[in-house]
Amino acid sequence: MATKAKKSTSAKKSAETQKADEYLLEVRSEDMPPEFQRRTIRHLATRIFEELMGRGLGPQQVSTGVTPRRLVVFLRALPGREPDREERELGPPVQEAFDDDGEPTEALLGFCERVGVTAEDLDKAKTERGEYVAAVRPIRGRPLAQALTEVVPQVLSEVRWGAKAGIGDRFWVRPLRGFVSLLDGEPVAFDFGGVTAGRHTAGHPILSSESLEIADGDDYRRRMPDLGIVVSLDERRQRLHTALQEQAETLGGELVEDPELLDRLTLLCEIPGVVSGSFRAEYLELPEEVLLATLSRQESAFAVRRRGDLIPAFLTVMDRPDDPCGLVRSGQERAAAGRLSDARFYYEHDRDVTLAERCRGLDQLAFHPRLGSYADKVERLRALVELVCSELGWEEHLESALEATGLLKADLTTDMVRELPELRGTVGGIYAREEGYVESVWQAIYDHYRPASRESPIPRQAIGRVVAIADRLDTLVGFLGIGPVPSASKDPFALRRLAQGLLQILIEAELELDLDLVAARAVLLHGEALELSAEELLERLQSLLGERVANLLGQRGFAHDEIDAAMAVGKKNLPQLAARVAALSAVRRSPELGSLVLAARRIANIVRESAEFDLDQELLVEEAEVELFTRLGEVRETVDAAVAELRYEDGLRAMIELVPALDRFFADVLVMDEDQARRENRIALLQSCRRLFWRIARLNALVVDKE
Amino acid sequence: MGTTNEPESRASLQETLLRLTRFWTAEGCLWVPSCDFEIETGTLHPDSFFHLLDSEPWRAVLLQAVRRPLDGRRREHPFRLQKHLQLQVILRPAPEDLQALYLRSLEALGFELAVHDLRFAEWSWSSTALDAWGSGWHVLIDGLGITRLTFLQQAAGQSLEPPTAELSYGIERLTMLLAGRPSAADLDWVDGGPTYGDLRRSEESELSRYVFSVADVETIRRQLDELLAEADRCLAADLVRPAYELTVKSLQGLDVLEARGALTTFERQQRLEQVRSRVRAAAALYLAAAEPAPGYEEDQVPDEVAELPPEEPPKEEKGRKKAKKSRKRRGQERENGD
Repeated sequence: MATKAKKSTSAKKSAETQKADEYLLEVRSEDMPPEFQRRTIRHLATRIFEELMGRGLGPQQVSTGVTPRRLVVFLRALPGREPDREERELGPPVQEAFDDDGEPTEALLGFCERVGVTAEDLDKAKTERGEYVAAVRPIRGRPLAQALTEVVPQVLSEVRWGAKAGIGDRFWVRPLRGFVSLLDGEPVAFDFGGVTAGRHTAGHPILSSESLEIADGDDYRRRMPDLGIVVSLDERRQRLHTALQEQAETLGGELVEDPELLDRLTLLCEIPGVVSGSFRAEYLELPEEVLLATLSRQESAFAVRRRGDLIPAFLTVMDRPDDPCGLVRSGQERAAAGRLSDARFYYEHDRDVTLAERCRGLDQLAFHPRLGSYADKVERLRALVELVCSELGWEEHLESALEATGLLKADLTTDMVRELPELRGTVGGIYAREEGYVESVWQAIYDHYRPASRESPIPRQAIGRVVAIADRLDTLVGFLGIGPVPSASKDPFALRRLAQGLLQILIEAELELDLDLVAARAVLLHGEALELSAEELLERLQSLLGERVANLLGQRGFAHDEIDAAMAVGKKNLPQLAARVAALSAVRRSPELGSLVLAARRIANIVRESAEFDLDQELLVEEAEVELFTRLGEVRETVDAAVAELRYEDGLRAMIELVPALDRFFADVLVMDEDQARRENRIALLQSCRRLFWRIARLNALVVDKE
Repeated sequence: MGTTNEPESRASLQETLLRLTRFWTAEGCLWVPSCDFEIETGTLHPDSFFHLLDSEPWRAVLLQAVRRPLDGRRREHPFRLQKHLQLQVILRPAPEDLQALYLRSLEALGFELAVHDLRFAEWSWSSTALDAWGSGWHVLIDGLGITRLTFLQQAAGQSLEPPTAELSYGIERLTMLLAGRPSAADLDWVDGGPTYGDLRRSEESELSRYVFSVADVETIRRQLDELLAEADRCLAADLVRPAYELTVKSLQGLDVLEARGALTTFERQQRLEQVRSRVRAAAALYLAAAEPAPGYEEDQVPDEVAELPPEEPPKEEKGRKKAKKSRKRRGQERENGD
């Protein structure tokens, strides 16, 4: 055994220093589903870390590796054993422990013998039932290896996969092949799912399937690259990306970036290889969106551009370093030819039927069994689009908007969308363009599922925005009306994303639209299909939108207290809300803001429980309160002007100018005057200040740095 | 290149078929005749289906010409065909080393795997009509899907524990890879003999035209109704296989209706539901008629029988939960034992 010498030194070392350098765990299985890989490696690393922390065995560093066939966890710099601790054990009551001469009784001696202490080491403990003799027993912490044999199988047994994803009662999502479990080169043995852990693994199942004996973590990190296997997900993604870019350059073009595809392909190989291929130039005549989606979604290949135009070549990933006989390339070319041939087939045959003719089939296509067909949805959308146009004062867009609405969902009946569902909308837009509809109409259809995520753009033109808003509200109201409130863990119809997209459109396009009004109409249009009352439903919708708007603003880098403070004084007008939050964030760094917030908070504390009083200028007597009154009037004028022009930052800066007057007021004036009229008048003055602040945000709710 | 010594001269469709069949018969599979009516996948073959329901071990290999009207491309696609050859292997119970066994079958075909890019992609299969599902891998070589390896875990609503393995090889695609040909039509049916295109070109083209342009929607709808009515008569007469066959035959017409663009989502679901209820009824009859063999498990009593007394269903539910719990406990004991 080559590892023997190493074994004895490391064993010696860990006894001396009570430290372990590294624990290596590799779970090897037949090819696992990508989603499972992603979820499970996170689970393993987090849970093993947590369990070890709980035992005082937390490692200083955790890193992971994941390939289709292995999940690897490296833990570095761990305590060699659990901390020693003391356990207190109660013996007999004190009065029964010693006899009249103060000598230990039989009962006490028996206890001492059982626990293993002498009578001198004893302590006393008071309990509810009186005083007892207590023994303190030192407990030696268990060695790390022993804890690992317990923790690792336990964490493995917690791993779950979806219904219909695994194999019967088996212990892993796909057949398990083995475990490497080494602590500083020593096997930490355990059994799981009928497999015993040790120091054996294997390389790539076809290229290097022989059994490998691993000495320790360093050895593992050397041996895997020798076989071409890159265990680290990040490193593999990076290498693939570089190789893809280089090969695109070799082809005389540049890579069409597709991070989602790169992520997907990284999880499908453990040896990161890249292969290129070409396709017949005639396929370049397909619409670019279709060509790109076919390559990316179906062929899992990257496209290449030269000076802006696609060239008839593609790049894809293989789970091997090279293509010695050119077979991978010719195979991928054949597969791509098949996919592109299909895309062209759909493209040509779909257009045998016009979009207008396709609309007649929509009454047969269910939107949701309880919410009617897509024809029903389009009918509802017509009414909503009309309302949105009139609310926004966009009567001039109404006619085109209704034309787009009629054709909006026609592409759902095409073969192209059946085959490439993520092209819905896009395909309808392209076909509408080719049928000669005006730009605003075809673009509205093309864009109406936008934004797909928070980074993606909103619909390009007014009509696209109107139909997108109507479509999203109709869906939100319908699903909220028949189903449970969506949550982070349970949102089968992606309503949260839908809501967020709706808010993005309103904020980015600066549309001041009363969503409650449109939603109320949507409720009426859905009619009896909904289970909830209109009130309940609108309340749910408002709370969902409120939560999403806070989330959206948070993602844009605004602090939570800024968002909350701004939302507390109004969240219906979204463009204004966004501007108010931005203003808060902009003045956040001014040193004077802190004193304004403190003053606002002081005011809030005083007037919190109070009824509203009227301010009577005649009753102001003290100099400081007269001054505050005068300054308030001036500042209010500035704030009014600023707010009217959405210059909220200027408004906040004006408020800051009120601080000296406020400070003086609090220093010189006693609000709680004995005289009721004066007292109420001073409260009224402060209430006026608060009203002013709340034009922009609940300033008293902001967190001040000093806190 | 990339296969055995002289692949160019040897790789033919017939050779692929013979080699694979020999490989699997040597692994103890019975060679079973193909289904004698149109089906869209080998899993629907009555022999395969009823053997899934048995608790007895079963190993079989069969060649099935499967028909998928929706895959018709009027011959415009190099290898998507509405009628293609599938070699189906059923291994009940599923062996532990299915992947390794499968790789050996590829080697037996003459693949030199070390120069190809072979992937086991995630694959899950479910059939509303059969009330069945399974999971496993879709195997691709150099980007071309050639086999599905499925651990079947439910059929006719019955849980299949332990799972049964099903392998279905696409014979045309396998041979394309072995022979290095760009399309199915270019394949040699037999070395030095006619090509696949010679034998099948006009058939594929005519079938495609029929399902996409000519098939009469009303006639087919009527046929579907008649098939199911006839299946009902068989069920009433306790005739298991005729009932199953008549029911499964109707699936073909369903696809033709869809290819003609005459099938709505609603109608499709509704009709699949009609098929499923008859498949379940036939399976229940089959299981009720079978003598409970030694080791016959309670799990496999068809629902209709088990649920006769009104208190039964909740009881059964509990029993199942308990069984799950005890399995879990067993698992934990194993872990604690270490």
